[in-house]
Amino acid sequence: MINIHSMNAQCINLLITGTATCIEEHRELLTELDSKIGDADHGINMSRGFQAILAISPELSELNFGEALKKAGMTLLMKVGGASGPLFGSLFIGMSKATPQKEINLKEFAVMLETGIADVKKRGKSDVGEKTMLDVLVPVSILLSEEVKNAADKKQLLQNIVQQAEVSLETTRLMQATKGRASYLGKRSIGHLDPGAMSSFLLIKTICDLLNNNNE
Amino acid sequence: MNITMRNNVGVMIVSHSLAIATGTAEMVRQIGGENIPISYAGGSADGGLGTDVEAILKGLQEIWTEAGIVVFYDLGSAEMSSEAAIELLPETQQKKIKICSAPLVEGAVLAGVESCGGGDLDQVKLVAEKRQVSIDEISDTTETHRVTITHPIGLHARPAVKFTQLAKCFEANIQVKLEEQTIWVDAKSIVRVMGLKARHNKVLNLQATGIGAPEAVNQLMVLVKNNFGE
Repeated sequence: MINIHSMNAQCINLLITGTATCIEEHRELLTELDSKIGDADHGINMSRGFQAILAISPELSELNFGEALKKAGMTLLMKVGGASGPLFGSLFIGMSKATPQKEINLKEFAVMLETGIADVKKRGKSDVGEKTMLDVLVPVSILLSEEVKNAADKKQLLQNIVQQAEVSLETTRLMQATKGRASYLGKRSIGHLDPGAMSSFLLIKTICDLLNNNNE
Repeated sequence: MNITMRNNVGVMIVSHSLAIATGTAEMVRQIGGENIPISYAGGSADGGLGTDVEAILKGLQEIWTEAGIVVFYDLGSAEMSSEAAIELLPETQQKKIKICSAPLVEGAVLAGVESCGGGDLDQVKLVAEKRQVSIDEISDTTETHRVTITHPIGLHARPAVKFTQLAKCFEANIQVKLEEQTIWVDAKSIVRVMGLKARHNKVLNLQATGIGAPEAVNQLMVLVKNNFGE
């Protein structure tokens, strides 16, 4: 089994700052994507949520990783004011349920992600193939669960994950939305990337990059 | 909105728009009167369009009643946010909060009327969804009783209130319909009974099963024959 590292205060801070910065940098892009097939508020909502997490980052750093994830999830749930709040909130809260007390290895992280995804599916009454965030999260989760069994090179694994996320994101372009506001567009939703899938990709890439740098 | 009486089923309105939420609540209040607990959550926390889990949670807590609450929403993510808010409440309360998929305005208004008439949680939800209430519980073999409406304005507002109030005194499952029609409705539901539009000289059919069924039918027939005591 591969140890990522212990999720200490510094690490929590790093993850929060990294993800919040990434969302902030892509705020316009997310809103732009959402204006094509939704209500043009995804960037604004994600930004509001991650800025709210950033604002309580000193408090979160005091907690263990599971508790911090749960609190971050609750913050998204309560503060976002759009579908992405309950959905990304459920992801984090779900992951926190499977978070071990101390050190987290990749195998455990894979289980956390699976648990979080199960909660997203439940909350959104959705699954893969409906042009949603799940179309990125699920393939990534499957890949991760497979690769941790093979004890692959960590750096390579993180790279593979980012690559999978990117490919999966692209698959949403050709999908017809059958969930959420985009589903109202029917066939006209085809040809655009899903904004929720884009945020999922961005978050995964940011986290993998951070873990990569942190381990060098 | 704060309400003093707490035994009527509550109506919670969730919309992406504050204007829709307040407008719908106003319509429910107008028809449902002051007795029913009504609350609403509209728009996002910053005043824009959206749904706000925190506001929904607050609204539900504000009007919490043991009689339960029916939640109405406008679009999918309002349903999802409502579910998320409900899950943050104690489990005992969660069981008594039902999300209703009826069209927002019509559903909420129908629920308001039914709640005002004393309907319980399931009844209020079913009426709002315009679904038939427990029709299958009455078998074909149940005896049908006939009574002609002699009251000059028929089974309208005031008579209908008296009729349903009397029906509600019985535990029995009571159904009523116009003889010329085939669909039975719940005799305890004010919305359904008024929906029959049973006018002067029309013949009502009554059926009942369960505890006190014969007595229930008997008393309701007497009420109709006596012109609802008017």
